[in-house]
Amino acid sequence: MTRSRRLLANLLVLGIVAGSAAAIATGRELWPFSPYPMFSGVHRETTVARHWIYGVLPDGREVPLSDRRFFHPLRPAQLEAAFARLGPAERREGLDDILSRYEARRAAGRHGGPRVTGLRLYRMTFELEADAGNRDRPLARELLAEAPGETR
Amino acid sequence: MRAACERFLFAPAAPAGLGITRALLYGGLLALYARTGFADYADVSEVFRCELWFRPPVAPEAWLVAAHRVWLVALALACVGIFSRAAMAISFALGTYLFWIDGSFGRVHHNELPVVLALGVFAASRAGDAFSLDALRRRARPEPSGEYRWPLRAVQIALALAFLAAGIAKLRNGGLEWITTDNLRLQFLGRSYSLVPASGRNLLVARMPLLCNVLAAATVACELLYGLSLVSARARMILVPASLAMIQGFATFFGPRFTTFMLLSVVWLPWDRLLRHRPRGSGSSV
Repeated sequence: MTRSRRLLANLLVLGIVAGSAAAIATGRELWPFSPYPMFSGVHRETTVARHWIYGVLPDGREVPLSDRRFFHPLRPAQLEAAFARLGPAERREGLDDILSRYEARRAAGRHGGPRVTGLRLYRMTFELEADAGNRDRPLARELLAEAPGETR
Repeated sequence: MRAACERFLFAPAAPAGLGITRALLYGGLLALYARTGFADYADVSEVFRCELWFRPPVAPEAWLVAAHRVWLVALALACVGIFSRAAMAISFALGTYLFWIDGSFGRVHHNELPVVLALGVFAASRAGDAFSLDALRRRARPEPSGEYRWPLRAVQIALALAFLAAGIAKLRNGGLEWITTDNLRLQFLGRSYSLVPASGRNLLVARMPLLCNVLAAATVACELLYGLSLVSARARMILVPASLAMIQGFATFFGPRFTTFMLLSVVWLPWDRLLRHRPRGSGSSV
């Protein structure tokens, strides 16, 4: 093994160690290095808040859109993280974006969701129950944004 | 110390182990990402992009489709070992771009991060020297060398640091409460209230609070101690399978799938020992 190849290998290993150490020390995402913070918070409450997206059917009824194919290529976890940090105007823009792709993909037969005329984003607060039987009975339901329509 | 590091990284190893790892890694990535719709990010609103030190520009859809296809071809070539060096370099360059795009929407995807590092390491390696069509064509039988040890060590180090970071994050953000309180049980329950809920198996575990505490302790212990696998064969025998069980547990009871961490665990297979015990006459490279 030549000296230059050995140097290259050492530099690569050193880079991996230094990048990882920096991400751990700062607690910041330094892509492709990370402090891997997922699930590291402590859940103390017996309630939980989640962002849910409802579709508005042509007759005005609302249905939760709980199939990951509806939001492709965004995954539910990506949406949850994004909506948790976005402000009102950006939430509305985000919903508009999801609505247009949802309808385009539905028309193309790429998912089997119902036709919707709009989307609504709610912050749902639930009491945690052992069988999660209260998924359809939140403690609170706060409208955060609507597309197309008013932003609250 | 320096000599120990040298031995750790560069002790001579037969080329076949690295070659087989290359075939498994690139074949696995090909299977995992053949149908991923990277191109669909072309028309996703910028509001969904997350804070990163650098956010790569999203190419038009046709370019992303082309990049994905070329990447898959490069993965396939690297898997069978034709034009290995070029195939691994292209796999690294395009894979980094596609994963970076994917990880810049919503939140960082931790599943892909070690893969980027592994692709970088393999791009700089001589992993095509054995167990490859290139080696068949050249009819060369390279001697054992440090060249065939350090790439596996580098990926092992990347994995160990990823697990260590996850363990430290839990202690830093949650402390011992992460283990000793109802935390994990409540997190299990909370998965059922997501817009796209977990499978329901999470509720089975949540019914057993003590088991949740045991799982929390085992998770943190496995993450913090995983690095011992670098220096102890005995620890490796316990911690690597334990990490695989933990990752499978995450997928089964929690939802997130860290499939690439499972795939990358092939770097821990003791190729030196396995290949030494093969029947005579079965060849050592290719």
